[in-house]
Amino acid sequence: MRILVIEDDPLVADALLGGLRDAGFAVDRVESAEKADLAIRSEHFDLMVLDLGLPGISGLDWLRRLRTRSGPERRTPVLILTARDGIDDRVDGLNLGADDYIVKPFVLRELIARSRALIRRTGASVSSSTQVGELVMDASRRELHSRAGLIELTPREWSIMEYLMLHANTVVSKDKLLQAISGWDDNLGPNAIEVYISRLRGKLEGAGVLIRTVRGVGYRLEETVA
Amino acid sequence: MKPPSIRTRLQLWLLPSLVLILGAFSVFDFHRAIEPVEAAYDAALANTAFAVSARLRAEKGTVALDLDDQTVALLRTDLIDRIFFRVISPSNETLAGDIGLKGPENIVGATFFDAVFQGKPVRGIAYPVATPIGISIVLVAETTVKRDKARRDMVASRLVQDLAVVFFAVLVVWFSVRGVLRPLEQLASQVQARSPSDLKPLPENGSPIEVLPLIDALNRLFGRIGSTQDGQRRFIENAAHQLRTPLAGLQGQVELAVREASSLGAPAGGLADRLARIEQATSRVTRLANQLLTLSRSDRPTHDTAGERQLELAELVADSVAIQIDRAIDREQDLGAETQAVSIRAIEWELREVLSNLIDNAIRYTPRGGQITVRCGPDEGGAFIEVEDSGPGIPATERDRVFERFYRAPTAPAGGSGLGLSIVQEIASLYEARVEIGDASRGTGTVVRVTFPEAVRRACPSPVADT
Repeated sequence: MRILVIEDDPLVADALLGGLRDAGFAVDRVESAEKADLAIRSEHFDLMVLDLGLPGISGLDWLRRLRTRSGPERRTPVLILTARDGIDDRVDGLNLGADDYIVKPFVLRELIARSRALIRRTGASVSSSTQVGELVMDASRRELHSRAGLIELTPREWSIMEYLMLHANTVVSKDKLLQAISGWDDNLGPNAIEVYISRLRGKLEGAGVLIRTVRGVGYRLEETVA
Repeated sequence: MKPPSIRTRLQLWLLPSLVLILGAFSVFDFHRAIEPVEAAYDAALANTAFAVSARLRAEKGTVALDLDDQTVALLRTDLIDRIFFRVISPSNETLAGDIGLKGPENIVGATFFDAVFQGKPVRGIAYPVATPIGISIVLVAETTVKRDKARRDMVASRLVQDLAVVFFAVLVVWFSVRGVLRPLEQLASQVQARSPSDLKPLPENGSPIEVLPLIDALNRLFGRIGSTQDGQRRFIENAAHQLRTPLAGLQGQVELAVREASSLGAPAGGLADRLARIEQATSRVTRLANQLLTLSRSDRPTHDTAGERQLELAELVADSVAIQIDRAIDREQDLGAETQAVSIRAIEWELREVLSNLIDNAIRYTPRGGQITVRCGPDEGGAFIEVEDSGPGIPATERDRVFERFYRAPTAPAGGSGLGLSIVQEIASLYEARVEIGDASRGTGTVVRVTFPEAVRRACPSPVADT
């Protein structure tokens, strides 16, 4: 997985490179929007981490231009970095086509988790295989594998599991999970979700992942720390 | 000491001088009015004296008075006053009339005089008459009953009239002073009714020319204060923004260093520990920069509602819990939410700051293994947000002080800035929301509840959500 970091501050850029490389990504870095134009012309990236406070062309302007290009690069997911946490910046950024937004200073761990989530979501629509920890989901065959082998899932369990994997490491509400399976049966209540989650937990034992309950909010699929 | 008052001063000057002037004029007026009356009465006296003098005759070297009783009776006739007379010969004998009646010492021509006769004040005339053997004197006098009455009537009618004039003059002064000062009072109440952060210029139209310089000066002052405040706000914002980029670098570098040190298997107490401490310090500085920025940004005028939107509290609560869940997990705390659907009109980042500071405090103050619950829902037409923890609780004596900036309770664990609750309070005040600290429903612990008034909640009656 290849990431382009567009950040002018050397200290921040160096930390981003170190953190993302440690996490297993291939990372390139440019320090201006102009150089980013050159980079995306010749290379393919799975994600771009874009600082808004760039010298010269601002990050927001560059993002607006990127989304109007004709090549496949215009669909590359973009994670915005900004030192301003004003709602205006955020609304602007998300309206202009940013996929996520993180405010400086940030914890590397979180930035990496969000990068993974973005790549997973856009990647899943392109390829059809999603991985969380040791768990691999093959959407075309509707199969879920752990290191120990195939995990059998009912259609509803599959829908929930797919949603959780595409949103791994983020808290997902019961409502969202209900929507994910509502195609099957409209009469399901929130309690049904609890039932499916507890079944999934049973099936995922020893698979290196866990479904955490965030009381009153929802669930989160996490890799268990080895 | 009471400050000097323009109104009192105006009234102090105007009222006594008006009364004095009017008083002086009415005395003068009285005399002018009474004079002709007195003159008429005097003329009547003079006529009587003249009539008596016509009866004097010179006779063989003496003077005789030809006056019968009938004439005397006629002479003495008056409806109101008693009339006295006496005729004195040149040899100083009384020819007729009241013997005790005395005229003035020096008589030059017809002379009017005031005297007392038979115990009563009288007004009289001494009329000298030349006879062949010398000067005879005719004295005619009358009691002053009708004169007194005339004077009394005059005084009474004058007094009523003058008092009425004084009364109306005072009234006019009173109202005109009030009227003149009204624009000033209106200006004062206009300025007083403002919120401290309202620096809009005062309207000039309709104000009198004399008040315009004051309004102008106030408006210029407002302008200066406003631009100073804007400058300060911009400075703090810029400073905080400038801090954030290097902090992001520092944060990232420290994180990487901690990871490298632990992968190298550095011994406990050595480099790894120091790096962990630097990481903690970095996140503390980061948090402080964020909080200062939040304080400077929340320092906005309450009427500035640009950026307000209808916000679902339950969504914000769920989001805020999700953002902080990792910190709670690190401390083995059970952080969760109990939400009821309610929406209020507010600026999103401000509500996020309220939630993030309340949850952050709860995580900080609740021991490992504790429970923290974030709630929201409708409240008597308004809406509430509350965070309950199972921490040690805040003693009642501390509850007011914890809202002060930088105040930290004596029992507070290290690492806090003392800004969290003052940020909550400050943002709450923008929405006229109440912030209350109470005891947790069971065991020890604290509930901090923010109650938004009805005005902030625009009807959104949705059923209780069970998430």
